[in-house]
Amino acid sequence: MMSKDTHKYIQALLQQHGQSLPAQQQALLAAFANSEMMEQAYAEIIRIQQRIMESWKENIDIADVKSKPLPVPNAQVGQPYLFTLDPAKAGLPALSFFDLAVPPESGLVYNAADFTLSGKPLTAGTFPLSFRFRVAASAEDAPLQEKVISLLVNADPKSLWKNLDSDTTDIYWKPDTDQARLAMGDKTLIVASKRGRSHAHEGRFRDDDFGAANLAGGWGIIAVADGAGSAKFSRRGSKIVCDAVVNFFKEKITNAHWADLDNAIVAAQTSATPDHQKTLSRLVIDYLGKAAYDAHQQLNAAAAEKEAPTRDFATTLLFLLVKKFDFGYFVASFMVGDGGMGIYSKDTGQVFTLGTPDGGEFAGQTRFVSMPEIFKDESFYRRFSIRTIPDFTALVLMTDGITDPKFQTDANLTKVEYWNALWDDLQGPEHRVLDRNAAQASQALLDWLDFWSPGNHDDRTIAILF
Amino acid sequence: MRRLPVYLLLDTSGSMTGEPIEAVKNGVQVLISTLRQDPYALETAFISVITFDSSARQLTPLTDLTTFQIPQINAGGGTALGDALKLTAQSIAREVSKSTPDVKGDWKPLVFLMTDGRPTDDWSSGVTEFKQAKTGIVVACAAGNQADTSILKQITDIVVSLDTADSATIKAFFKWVSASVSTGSQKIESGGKEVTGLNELPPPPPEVNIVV
Repeated sequence: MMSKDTHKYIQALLQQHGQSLPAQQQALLAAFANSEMMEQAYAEIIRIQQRIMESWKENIDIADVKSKPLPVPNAQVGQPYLFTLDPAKAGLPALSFFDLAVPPESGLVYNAADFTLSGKPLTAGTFPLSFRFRVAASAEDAPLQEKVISLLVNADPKSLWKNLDSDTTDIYWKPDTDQARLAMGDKTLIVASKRGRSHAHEGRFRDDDFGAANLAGGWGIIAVADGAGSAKFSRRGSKIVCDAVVNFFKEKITNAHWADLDNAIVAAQTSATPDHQKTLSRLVIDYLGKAAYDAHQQLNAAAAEKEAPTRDFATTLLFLLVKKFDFGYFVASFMVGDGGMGIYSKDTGQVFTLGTPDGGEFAGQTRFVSMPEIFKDESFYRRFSIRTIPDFTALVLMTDGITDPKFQTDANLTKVEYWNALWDDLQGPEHRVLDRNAAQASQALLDWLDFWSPGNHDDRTIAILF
Repeated sequence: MRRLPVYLLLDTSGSMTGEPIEAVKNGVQVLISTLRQDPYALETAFISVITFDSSARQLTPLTDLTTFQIPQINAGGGTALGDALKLTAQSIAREVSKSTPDVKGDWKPLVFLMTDGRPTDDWSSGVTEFKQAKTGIVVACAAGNQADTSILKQITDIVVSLDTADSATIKAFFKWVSASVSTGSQKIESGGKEVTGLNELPPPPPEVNIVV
């Protein structure tokens, strides 16, 4: 067999070098090729060729390993990491050996027994991992090759948020947080308001605000407001409107006014004729509407004083009046802008939302109490809500810093499952916010406002009467 | 969570070979690592990379910044801009979620297109399909003087040009893209508003010229 191959090889070689090999030389060639020397030479040539081929294969395999990506998923500071290295799965050529050298400062270790890279990274950054390998085409004792893979360790997103103090010398400065707790009838009101991370990150102000008070005749008022992010002095606007509505009911609504309202409520409750309902609606619109308009005018006055346009003080406004009667609680509310108000009854699984948020979904639809058209549009009357309820678990007012992360959409504000989740979260083991006897209940609520929700870092204000 | 989708459409035609393509790779690297330092962007921005030469490919589907890995980018072939625009429209339709009464959808995607030459395919049908997609700000960048800004103007009002496609200039463009994405995610997170025009983006660096 060998001699036949040798013969063919030599014949081809001679022809390649221009030897004509006429017929009379064929016998000579056969004897020549059949010699032991030629046999050995041929075997040597074949061995060298094989070595060249193997070496070529080794070379392209090494180049292949070096050029093809061997993806190692990114890690995150503080998060447990586990990845099993599988070069074959990544489409790399067959390897007879591989391992991974990992810089200790990455916080990860490579375990050659099960090919895992694991640990809990401590520092953010890009770390070079040295992937050392020998392709299957290499000799067993061939030196190891190296490919450097970058391991990315992301920072903990929470650590990237800075908390810069707001400028306390600013004329409209207000504390970055605020809280209140007060008894209101047989219920307790707790309120907390906190500057959002997005504002804290840049040392900007809290644009949210709130106001609450016990009024004459057993009435209570609760207000929350969210100054528009785009308006320069909205932090002041939100305070002005909350104070305005509270003061309006303290100063402008007399005992006689309250008596009229109480009588109308009792009349509407005992004989629910359309006339009685109408009288009640008219009074609610009169009182709450005037309070809202007073807030609007106070924004105008502040703007005039500052010689700035009123829109610089743009703010939402949500407020309600509440009082306990023999038949239960009466609630009347007014709302401009986004956020949400609702009466939640856990036992009956019911929630009544008060008002409809002005959708910010489509640009230009957001409404602020600073806009004069609020009081002219026919939508004005839809801003009021009246509700009578025997009892409730909680009466809640929220700015959009709460409704966005907790309800996502306006439609979800009407779904009790979202309220159940909010309630469970508030009184869950982590927070225990809802202890009405605890003096620090509003502080607990303030702490709760730190809840983490990616992409939702607006100012947060929530008032809970429970 | 409402994501801020960012689509990068990168020309990888043969003319990009060498310094320009290396600059683009480096630019994407800078873009990603800068955005990772920005807490607004890190939480909301999702990036997709679409490259186009003789055809278009989505090298990276819409991916959050934390898990994003730079894809392998190689240059060679023609300039299938129309194909790239179609693929982008299809990717947006598939990947960007729409708002329903129960769920707030993603924010409108930001699209950054960079090309250094004239399209070699039927670009106008691509433009038509792309215009149907619901996008936020679309920035088209002509890198070097071979690109046809009049074609880019038919894709978007916001067209910028780079005098040369060298590494410093391309890097400057990507830094501006990064600042623009940061601004976009910041506006969303602090005010719930989207950027709607060039005037709301950070001013471009001197290397990036606005084409009027």
